[in-house]
Amino acid sequence: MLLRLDFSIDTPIYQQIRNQIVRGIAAGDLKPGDQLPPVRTLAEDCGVNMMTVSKAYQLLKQEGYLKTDRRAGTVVCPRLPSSCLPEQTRAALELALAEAKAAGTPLEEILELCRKQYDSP
Amino acid sequence: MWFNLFLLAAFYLFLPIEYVTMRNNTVCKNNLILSVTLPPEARGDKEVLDFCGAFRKQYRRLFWILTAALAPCVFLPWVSVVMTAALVWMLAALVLMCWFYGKANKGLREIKRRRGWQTPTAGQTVVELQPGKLPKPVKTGWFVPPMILSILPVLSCFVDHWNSAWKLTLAITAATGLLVTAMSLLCYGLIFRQRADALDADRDLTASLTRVRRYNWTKFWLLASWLTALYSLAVWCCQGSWNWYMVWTVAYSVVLLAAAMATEFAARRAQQRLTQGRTRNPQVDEDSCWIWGQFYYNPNNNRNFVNERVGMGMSMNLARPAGKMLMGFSASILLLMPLLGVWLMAEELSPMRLTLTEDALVMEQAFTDYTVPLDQVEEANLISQLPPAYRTWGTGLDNLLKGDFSVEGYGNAKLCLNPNADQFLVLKTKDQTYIFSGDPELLKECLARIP
Repeated sequence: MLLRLDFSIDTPIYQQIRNQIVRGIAAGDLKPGDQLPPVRTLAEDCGVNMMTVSKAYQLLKQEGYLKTDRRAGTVVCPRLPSSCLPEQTRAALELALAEAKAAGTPLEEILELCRKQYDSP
Repeated sequence: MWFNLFLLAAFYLFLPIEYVTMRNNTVCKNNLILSVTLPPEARGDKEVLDFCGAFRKQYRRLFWILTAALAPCVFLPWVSVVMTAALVWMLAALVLMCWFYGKANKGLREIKRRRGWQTPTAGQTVVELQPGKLPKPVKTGWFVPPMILSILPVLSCFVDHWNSAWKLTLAITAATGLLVTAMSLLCYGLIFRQRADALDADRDLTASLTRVRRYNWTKFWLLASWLTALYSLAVWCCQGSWNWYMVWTVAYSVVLLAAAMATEFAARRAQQRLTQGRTRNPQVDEDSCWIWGQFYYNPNNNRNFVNERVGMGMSMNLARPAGKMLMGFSASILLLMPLLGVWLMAEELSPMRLTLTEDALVMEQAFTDYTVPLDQVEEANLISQLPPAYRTWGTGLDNLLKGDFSVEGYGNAKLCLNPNADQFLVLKTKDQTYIFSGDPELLKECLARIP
């Protein structure tokens, strides 16, 4: 899986790393049990501070996407046991949908976007 | 003339290397032509092919013009003038070659922009998160024997009783050898801290390209380390023979250069084979970070060294303070090099002035002067044949020997003379021996004045 970092946009780098790993898990590029590079290696590869990568990994661990395995290092967690959305994600989704509605985006377009996201392998 | 030829050959060598390397960049590898990332449809496009053809033609013309510009220097009678001309030529050639390549890079980027071949990820940092199975570093144990072998000649400088001229040469050569073997150990490890060579999402390709680079890089530094150790040992075994010293030095330089070129081009050939005919669109495009396609400048990357985009080498990040300093230092050395030639010209072309004052004999030449108080001279005589003299420190030219020399039959002495002169004045004081040449009448007068 390729990680793309854009330094010209306002989104912080740790957030970009976090978002792309989540997308990677959703798309199936990162499977449960897949090993991720250590913080230092990824920081060197991206040419960013170790703290940036560490912050992204911490966030992903808190959200339950990653876990630290004593032997394998940082790995992708198995699928969350509950199909319920975490409260924080639910709130973010509600806000995003509210913004879409306020912007006048038709419901069909939103549903199409959801379908596309769910249908990707 | 033979010496001029040898000197100019040493300077000239960089031109064919630079020419062949830069020209090789017109052949597509790693999605790059002339250091510009191009999509598959652009690589066989007629406009691009014509542009590359025109660049090759112009570059070849520049290569021959630069070669022709250096040729007349062979016939110049003064070594210092030849040296100055060669240094200025090298600087001009380096700038011109870079500028020509930079112009071509800019031209192709303009075609890319005009034809809409932009990559969606242009300017972004793209990293393979799981690059697959990559080769492990070679065990550092392979670098230990050459390190130990290189230390032996250095130690011998402290233990053995070589003559002073040879001792200095051996010490400089052995210390440099030790430095190179130590540097080989440090440099080879650097590549394993660089990111994998990803071009797109194909992990197998990423792993193969990374293997190619790391294998050749390791091979080169291992070779450099062993070659340098063997060279140091060979020089040590010369036992003071200057002819053998020259033979080993030339052989070492040629073999090391050949090894560097062979590994670089092996990496390039493998990259070309692996990426030829690929139809995937490139997902890595860092063209905007490479000034003139040659100098890496990326303030968003906190690394000092990054991989070159083709071949096996590395480049400095000029946006980092260390990169700026290293580049500034290298550029200063290059720009100041012609001054070395000016200093040599002053040394070679300034006349020697021997003057006799009330109480001392003064020899002046360029930036040096020797004053010998007459009342301190214990022995003086005129000789018509200069014994073999080996330079410890100073200037050694066809028409000038100046500085500290080891002279057969006299030991260590300070010389300031023209070796082609008919007579030489030898003065021995309590601490030092001086040998001068000059006007025969003045030499005789000096001899008469010695108490």
